[in-house]
Amino acid sequence: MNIITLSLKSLKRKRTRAVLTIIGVAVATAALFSLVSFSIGYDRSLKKEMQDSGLQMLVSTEGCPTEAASLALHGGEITKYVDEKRLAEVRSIQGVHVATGMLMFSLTEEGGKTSLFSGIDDEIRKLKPYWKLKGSWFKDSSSIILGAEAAKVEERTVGDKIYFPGLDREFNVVGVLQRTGTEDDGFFFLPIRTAQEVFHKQGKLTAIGVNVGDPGRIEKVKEQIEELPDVYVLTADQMMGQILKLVGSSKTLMFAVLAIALIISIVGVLNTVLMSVMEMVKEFGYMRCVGAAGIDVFKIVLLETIAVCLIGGIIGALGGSALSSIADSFIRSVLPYAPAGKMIEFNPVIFITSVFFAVILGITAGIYPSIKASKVSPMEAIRNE
Amino acid sequence: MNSIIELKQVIKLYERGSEKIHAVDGINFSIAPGEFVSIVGPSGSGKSTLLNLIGCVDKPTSGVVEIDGVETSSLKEKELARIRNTKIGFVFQQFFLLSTLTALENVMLPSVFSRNGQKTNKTKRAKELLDIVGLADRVNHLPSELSGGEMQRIAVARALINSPKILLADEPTGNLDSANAEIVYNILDKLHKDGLTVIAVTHNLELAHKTQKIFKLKDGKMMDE
Ligand SMILES: Nc1ncnc2c1ncn2[C@@H]1O[C@H](COP(=O)(O)OP(=O)(O)OP(=O)(O)O)[C@@H](O)[C@H]1O
Ligand SMILES: [Mg+2]
Repeated sequence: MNIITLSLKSLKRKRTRAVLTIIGVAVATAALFSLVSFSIGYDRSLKKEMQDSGLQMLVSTEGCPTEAASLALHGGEITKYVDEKRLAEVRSIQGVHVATGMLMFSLTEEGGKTSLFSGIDDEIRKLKPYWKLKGSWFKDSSSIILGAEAAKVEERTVGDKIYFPGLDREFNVVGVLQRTGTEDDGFFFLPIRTAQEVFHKQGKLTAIGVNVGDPGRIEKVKEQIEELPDVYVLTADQMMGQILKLVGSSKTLMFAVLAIALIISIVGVLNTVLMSVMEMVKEFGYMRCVGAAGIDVFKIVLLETIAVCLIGGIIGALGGSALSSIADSFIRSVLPYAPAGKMIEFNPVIFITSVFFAVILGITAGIYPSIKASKVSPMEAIRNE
Repeated sequence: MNSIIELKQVIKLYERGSEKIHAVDGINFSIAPGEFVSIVGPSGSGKSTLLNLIGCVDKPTSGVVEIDGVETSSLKEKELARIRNTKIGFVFQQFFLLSTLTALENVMLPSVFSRNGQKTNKTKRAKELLDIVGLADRVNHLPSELSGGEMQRIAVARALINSPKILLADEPTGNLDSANAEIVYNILDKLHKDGLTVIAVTHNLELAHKTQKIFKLKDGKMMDE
């Protein structure tokens, strides 16, 4: 028997309370683990997506770059258009590998349902190599390809027909995209010509996506494109910067919520331990009577608190990793933009750090009750007996 | 200066509102190493208070308490804890057993707080002590599963775990029938014969008369023998 077994003994006695405290710490640790994992994973995934996607530049007409970036990625209507002639001109610039025109439109049906459309051409597949298609690519002007979410909502699959009353047009579903985790999931994709026709935007594009291969050439090509009339060029780096700025404030908010959760957790643990110290005054008095020094009692209480937080921390971090896909989709839903793929990956360093934080939490919460316990005098045992 | 316990003009004053109680009132007393003495007196005469002062559990309002040549009033709490732990074994009137610990663990408790190594064979020593007090078959019982007399004997075993020089026993036979009281008395007597200094508070005059010296206490004052 030693100090550690002694403090675990007193834990065992207050089992229900210990379990509740452990749950509290576990939840806080799980939140910490998920959020840190996510935050690190987000930036990494975003970078990777930008690299994977061949989209190195986005050519639109002059306007607010944030608007352009956000619209290009989220869809929605841009009221200014690029002349389709620019597409051919961009293609002819030396160093341009891929240039693809896009026309985005949102259609609000009677009853308020909004559908996002994107007119695209074959070239886009080079910019979105991660697209996996079930069925086939466009066959004719009445073909439509659905994003995974759009297909789910409309309950359509390859071979079905889909009718949009707002357009008074029927399309044949030729392909459905596999879930990408990006905004693409919610889109209806039409051949560019069809899109221009149904939305009455003949000869117009929302933007032109450009790939130049070697990233070193981006700046040079950008300068050349900018010489064309009425264009505004946004590079992938700039877009990423915009997104990170946009997401940054959401992240700050999430971390603020987390900080509050941690403080509540500390206060909760502090309260529990303090209560238990009050209840155990007599016992501590007995220990002091048989020769326990103040520091011994201090250690018993602090170790007990640390044990609770360590167990809670490990459970929380394990739980956080187990539930990472749920956390992933939750966090996705509250962020303005999220890259494709799994953002939260198990990272042992984050795991250990989270558990470590839980222990720090324990020490922070345990120190005051431990000091209080260490001040119990042997006379407490004798009083009122 | 050949005493292991030396009290000079020791006073313990309790204040209850405006009322002042001299629980211990100017006591001088000296115990030689290896002595076996008893303290007797009516209830409320200050016996437990006196024992607490000797055991460094309580501090005197004034006066000097010397244990093994060390003047205790100037000592820090940490050093007092060390004296309680190593030099003194205390059998408290209310036992002070921890309800969550088994008999064996209770006996071992003081060893958890002792700073001198050799903790390895404490379990063995604790079992020996439980055997000596006749509780070898109660090793894994919790205090709530034991009788008053059994708890008392566990308290005796616990007092001995760190091999103290002094054993203070407050009513060690108070809850026992005469046969068991005899057993406990014999244990104390044997310990005394092995060289331990023993001070026992008792109401049992028959047992008191078997000790070397009897101190009679009344209203916190020592009566002549
Ligand atoms: N903490 C305290 N506060 C106030 N008065 C106290 C306190 N402890 C003891 N007393 C008083 O001091 C006196 C001596 O008490 P003490 O416990 O030493 O008596 P005792 O001789 O051990 O009695 P008993 O034989 O009943 O155990 C009593 O009058 C008691 O009421
Ligand atoms: Mg008493």
